[in-house]
Amino acid sequence: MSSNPNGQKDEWSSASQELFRAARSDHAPTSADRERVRRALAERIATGAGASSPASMAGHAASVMSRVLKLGFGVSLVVVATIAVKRVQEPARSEHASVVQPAAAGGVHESAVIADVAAPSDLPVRAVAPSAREVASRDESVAARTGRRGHARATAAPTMRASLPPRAAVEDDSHVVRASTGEGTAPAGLQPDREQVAERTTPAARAQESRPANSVKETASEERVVLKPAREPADERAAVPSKVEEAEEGRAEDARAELAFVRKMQAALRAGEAEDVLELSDEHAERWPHGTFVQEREGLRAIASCNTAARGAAARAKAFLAKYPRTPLGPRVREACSQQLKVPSAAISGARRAGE
Amino acid sequence: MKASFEYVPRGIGSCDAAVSGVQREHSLPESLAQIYDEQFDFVWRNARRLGVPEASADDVTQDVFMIVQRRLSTYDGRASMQAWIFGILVRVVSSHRRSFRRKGARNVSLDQDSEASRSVSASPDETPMAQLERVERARILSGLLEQLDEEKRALLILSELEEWTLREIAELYHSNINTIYSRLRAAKRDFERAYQQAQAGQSGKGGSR
Repeated sequence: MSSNPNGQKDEWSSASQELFRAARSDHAPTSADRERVRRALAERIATGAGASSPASMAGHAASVMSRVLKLGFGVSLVVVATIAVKRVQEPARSEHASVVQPAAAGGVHESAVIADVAAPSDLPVRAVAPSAREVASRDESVAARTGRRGHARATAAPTMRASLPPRAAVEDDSHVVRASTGEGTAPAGLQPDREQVAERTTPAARAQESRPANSVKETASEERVVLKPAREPADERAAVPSKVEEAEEGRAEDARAELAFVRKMQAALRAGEAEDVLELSDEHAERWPHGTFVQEREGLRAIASCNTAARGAAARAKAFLAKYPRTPLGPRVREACSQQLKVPSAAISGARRAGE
Repeated sequence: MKASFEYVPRGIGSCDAAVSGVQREHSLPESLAQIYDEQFDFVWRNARRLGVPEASADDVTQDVFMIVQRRLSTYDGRASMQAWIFGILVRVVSSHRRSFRRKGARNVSLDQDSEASRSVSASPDETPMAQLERVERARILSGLLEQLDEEKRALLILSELEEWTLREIAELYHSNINTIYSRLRAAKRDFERAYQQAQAGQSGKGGSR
């Protein structure tokens, strides 16, 4: 316990003081620890190894690796950003020309085709539209593979709307829908029915498209979550406790209950209610015949038996001392049962002091 | 043949000895041997108190004495040898902590329960009840110290567990006593707050059961 330089005591609760006081003897190494570390240290010095242990050298290597990876990631980001900026800055490439990209998934022609078919010339979206459509194309490819066509529109929309008036954004979204259905570019046999296309673009599709920007973002995030189904089963498995965990939890719960019960017995003994201790001991023996605190129970029972001068107290005390010859409860039992054991209590007190 | 399969503790060079089947006994340099004998317990137990898992205590302790050996010539005697070593220990533990974080919690056993129960070794002179209570106290203290920053944790360890005086702690930090006192007071305040929160949480849990 420290005091301040002026000799005043700190405000330091007794519980905290007790916690620290009791912990002063913890974490003491054994002589085996001392010798093991000494041998290893001597070897390291003899072999001229550096100041770092193998574990910390591994940690240092991991640190270097992570820095290299971060640097590499940074460089890639810069390269990607540069390419994106260049593409955006390029003059609008053939406003009405079709740009055909190979299907990423193979065989899914409609997802790979971005066709600016019949785009109204008055749309003020040309500067950013190509970039947004590329995003839509990539997402559409993914969506086509997963069978979710609507995803492309949802993910592309926030990118575009950041720089477009709402109406233009809606119009542009509808182009993506038309393009993604392959209108105008797909082989005749694979072309969807124009009425179906019309259905998608109006009025229901438009109603969906004309949601406020934040609702579109919500849709986008929902779609993104849906795109990662592989983790869901694992998460569900993790959420369901295994039988082993349940059993362990049950054991821990049982141990806590037993601990509380033994504390109750100790409190009863401190309060001088030896009869209660005997009753509680019987109850403990029934509930936890092979419990963790059997030694405590039997010791308390022996003390309470002697305090109440119960029949068989001497035999109980002797049996306890024989079974647990080194128990720290021994002096208390001998003291409480000195009459029954015919041991002078002065000798017991002397032995306790010597032991302490 | 027995020697070739004998467990050899961590350390570079131990593999060679194991493979060749010859156990070469090395001894510490004389200058280090005395310091090691005097300070090993201090380094080990405080490494553990500073939050080093038992599995890493060997490595941390070795690292500390390797640095002691390398820098012994620079020790100027301004602080005591123990204070100087404690300064090294704090830096080594800090470095190990960073590597634990990099590895991720799932790869490193920082289970407070198991750590606490291992650190409080079983004594034949204790009843299971007393032992359990001691383990519980160690677990609580370890968890509360873990919530403090490194400086406050070190101050509480030195003041309350090692029972250093303010002057000795001030020598370690090359600071004046009043500064150390105010920092220690702040550390105690934070510890008390964390303790009260933990107790409130515990009683809340008990009430909800």
